[in-house]
Amino acid sequence: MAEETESTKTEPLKTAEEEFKKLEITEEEESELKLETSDHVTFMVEASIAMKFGAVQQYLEVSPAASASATAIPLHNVASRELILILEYYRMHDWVDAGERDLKEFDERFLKDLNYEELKELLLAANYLNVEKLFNFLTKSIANIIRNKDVEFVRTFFGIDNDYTPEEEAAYREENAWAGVKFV
Amino acid sequence: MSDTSALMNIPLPSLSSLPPVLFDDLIAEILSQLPVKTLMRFRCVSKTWNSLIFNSSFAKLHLQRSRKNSKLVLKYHNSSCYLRFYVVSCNNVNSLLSSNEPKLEHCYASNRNYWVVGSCNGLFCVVACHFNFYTFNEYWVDFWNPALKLKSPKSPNLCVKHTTHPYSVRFGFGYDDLSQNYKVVAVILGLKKTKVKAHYLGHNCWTNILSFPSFPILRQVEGQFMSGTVNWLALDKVGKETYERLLLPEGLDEVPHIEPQLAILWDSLCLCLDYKGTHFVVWQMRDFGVEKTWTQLVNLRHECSPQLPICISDGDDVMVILLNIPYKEAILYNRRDGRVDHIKVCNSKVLIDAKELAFRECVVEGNALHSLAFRKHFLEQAFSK
Repeated sequence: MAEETESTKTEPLKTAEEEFKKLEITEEEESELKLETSDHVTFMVEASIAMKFGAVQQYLEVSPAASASATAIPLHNVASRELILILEYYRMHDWVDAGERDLKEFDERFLKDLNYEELKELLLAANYLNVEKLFNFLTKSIANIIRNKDVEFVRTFFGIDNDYTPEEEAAYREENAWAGVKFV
Repeated sequence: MSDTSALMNIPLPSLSSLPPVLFDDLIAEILSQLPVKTLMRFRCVSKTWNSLIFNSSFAKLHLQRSRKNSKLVLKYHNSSCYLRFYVVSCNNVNSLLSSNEPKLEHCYASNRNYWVVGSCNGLFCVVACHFNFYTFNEYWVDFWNPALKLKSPKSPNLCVKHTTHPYSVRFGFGYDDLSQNYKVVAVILGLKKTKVKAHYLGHNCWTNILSFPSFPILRQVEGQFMSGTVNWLALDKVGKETYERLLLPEGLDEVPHIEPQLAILWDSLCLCLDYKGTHFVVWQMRDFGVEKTWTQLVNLRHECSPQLPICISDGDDVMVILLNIPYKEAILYNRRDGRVDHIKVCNSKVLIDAKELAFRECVVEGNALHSLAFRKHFLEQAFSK
């Protein structure tokens, strides 16, 4: 109970987890799917969430038997650390009682806890899994990060080699400067 | 059942030594969220990024994403007869109209009397004319991309024999899917024959595309672009270079004292007319080309005939109708609840004689942009010599 005095910021997630556990107890029957990540960790995931993953849907279309059997659905390009984050995101966003403010706070905290490398890893995983909501959230977030940054930051962020010759780059920058010139 | 919660405690595997690399389509998704100005800066990142930004499928993606960021272009003359087009953001209609100093983002100035033919995917087409009463009138067009601050040089002249009055040519502008280029059509009204000529962006000629027996076309000069067609109160297909007629709403038998006009509001073709000098009526054609779908949108009693309405997005629901100058008043019509508000326009200096066109900021299709960029460069060289 002492926990209650703690910052309210962490509350939505905790409540979400509690709610989730409650659901697990009351709805013992809720069907689950077995997912196996690239690092060979198996997860039992509620079907309602797993079916939001385009990759899982596609797999089940090809081999419908997997939904009932004990065979795990392989997720070749998703490591367990990413899947944990993706499940955390979807459990929160799937939670019926989550208000708009709760979700906004959750999203902010979710993003804050990720470094740039993790953010990119997660985007790759979201793209592979074909999960629209998280994918849009991540692309928007990355766009916001780079929006006001300079070219050097962007190159470092994405690990891009500058393939312009110094002359070409100077010419482009100059050209870019006139693109910003006013007509007046 | 406790599998998942137990798994939460598994130590996270360490990151692989290689940093993650995002493929081009993911980069495109991220970049499509950014404004054009930022994209122009990021052209310098690498050659791949530069070609990605000017790729035509990226232009389409970016256009989809920028649907909500409507802007306005206002046209007005100052005392020295210089003409200016201003770009204004219109996220909030009320504040735009009632502020004394709207934030003008970018300006295009000229000492010629240009008028706007139309806008399409963030590209504007303006037309100017040199009247010569003894021989022929010369018309030419310019393309302008306000988001990139690029302007094309003028097109070749279109010479039209002087006929009865200077408004005997109608212009329309749109994107032609067949040629995958932007295209201006000029409808030249003759006494017996009406000729249609077209000019493609980046080309150096006007081509004859159509000729048909004349019939009266109303005075509105700018055709309205809709679903690959340019519409006057007589219709012309841009793409297939043919024309056909659309029926107007039933019950409109006579042409009102003030000629009706066409406008594009909320992405559909609308007919705006003055009814018996007391009411202003807007009809909307819900499904383009289907005459049954003409619906009356607005019916307002007015003291003084309003100008052409414009649609500016405020959650996509507000339409603004500008009243005549002495009243300095605008009428706001809210599409969702049908509410009509009259508000005082403070910055009348800008809005007087305003030619408004809502457009969305977009990286224009690669080819078009390159031809603009190339020509701009060419012009600079020419001037520096």
